Amino acid sequence: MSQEINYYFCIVFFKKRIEYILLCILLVDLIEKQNAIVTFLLYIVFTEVINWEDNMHELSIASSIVKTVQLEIEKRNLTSVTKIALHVGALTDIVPDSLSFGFEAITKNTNLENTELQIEIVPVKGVCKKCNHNFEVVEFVFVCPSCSSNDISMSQGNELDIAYIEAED
Amino acid sequence: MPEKITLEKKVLSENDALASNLRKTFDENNIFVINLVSSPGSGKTSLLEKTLAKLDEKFRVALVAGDVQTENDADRIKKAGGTMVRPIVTGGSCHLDARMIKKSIDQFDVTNIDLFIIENVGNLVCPSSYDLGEDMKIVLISTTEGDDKPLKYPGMFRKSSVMVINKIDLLGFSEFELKKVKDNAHQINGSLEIMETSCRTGEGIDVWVNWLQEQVIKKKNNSSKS
Repeated sequence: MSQEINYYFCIVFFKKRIEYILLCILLVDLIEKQNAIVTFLLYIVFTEVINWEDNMHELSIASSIVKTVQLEIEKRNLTSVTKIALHVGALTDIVPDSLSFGFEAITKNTNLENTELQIEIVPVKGVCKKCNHNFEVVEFVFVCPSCSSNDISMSQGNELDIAYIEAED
Repeated sequence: MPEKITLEKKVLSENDALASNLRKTFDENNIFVINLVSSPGSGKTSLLEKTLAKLDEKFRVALVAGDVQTENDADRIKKAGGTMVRPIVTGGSCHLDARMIKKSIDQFDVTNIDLFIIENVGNLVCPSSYDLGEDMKIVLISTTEGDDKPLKYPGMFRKSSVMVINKIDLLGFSEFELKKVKDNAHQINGSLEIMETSCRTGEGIDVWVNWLQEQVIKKKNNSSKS
């Protein structure tokens, strides 16, 4: 997950940098009255390429969340979404801070810019297949505290769900 | 006043739906599918090179290799045998998803495959969330890594059916303890099957390949009964 977020951050950061540099060159060109049209075309091509790049990587967790919520906004005709409540299982290895960071990065300058992403970690729970004991799996030790069996099925902890959203019509 | 709308929607529902379609296709065509995962450098590609060289020629194998930027892994495997190999260059993404698998399986003739091998991108975090329609996830770990890796990435080790410990010939040259890694892995997943290999000396490769062939045959037999 964190790798993916880093990747997103790089793209966003890098993209902005190049955009600014091109805009500066364009400004200088306009003042100097030379080559402005070439720089302008370069700028257009660059922004097009970057947008196309973004589309290719929409399958990250953060953009899947955004996509799902955007569909709901469209379907239900909502004007704004103030909050997205996520249920994230502890066994998904997702780092909440990284996910929030990625969400912020990709929603900048969009209708979800001010939306709060609330992440609730769902603890891992197991059921012993030998003695049917229900217990919370602490620190990923899948061993029954009652009979010491390690034949455990998981009853929760793998979630990656949007529980609810808060929205205005 | 904002209104609360209950969704209870899986974030990756789109991927899950595609994966279950893939699983259906694989089952209908009696194809045994493995999703091979590991950290970068554990030896996924080396293990596959050795595997394809040893695998009985009667098995028809198709393979996709995910790489972030190059097609090097797929090229290496192509040289190892007459397997149908397709590279997937993810272009930055740290995992394969069901859509990429769908796209590559469409380039194969599914009626002509017994074993489909997915070599995932070297990463133990993201690939664990993305179902690819496989029968089993197989996690590879090597003796040059930490023996606490199962504890660091519990999600992946919990979801895997087999753990292959590679570079077993280097045991003793690092702090890696065989017993510790096995205990750590079984603490996360009591039913995890464990095998040991060395791609350099060939140790354990036969055991692994025999096991793999058994699974392929089992899937064939299961399907013909039903």
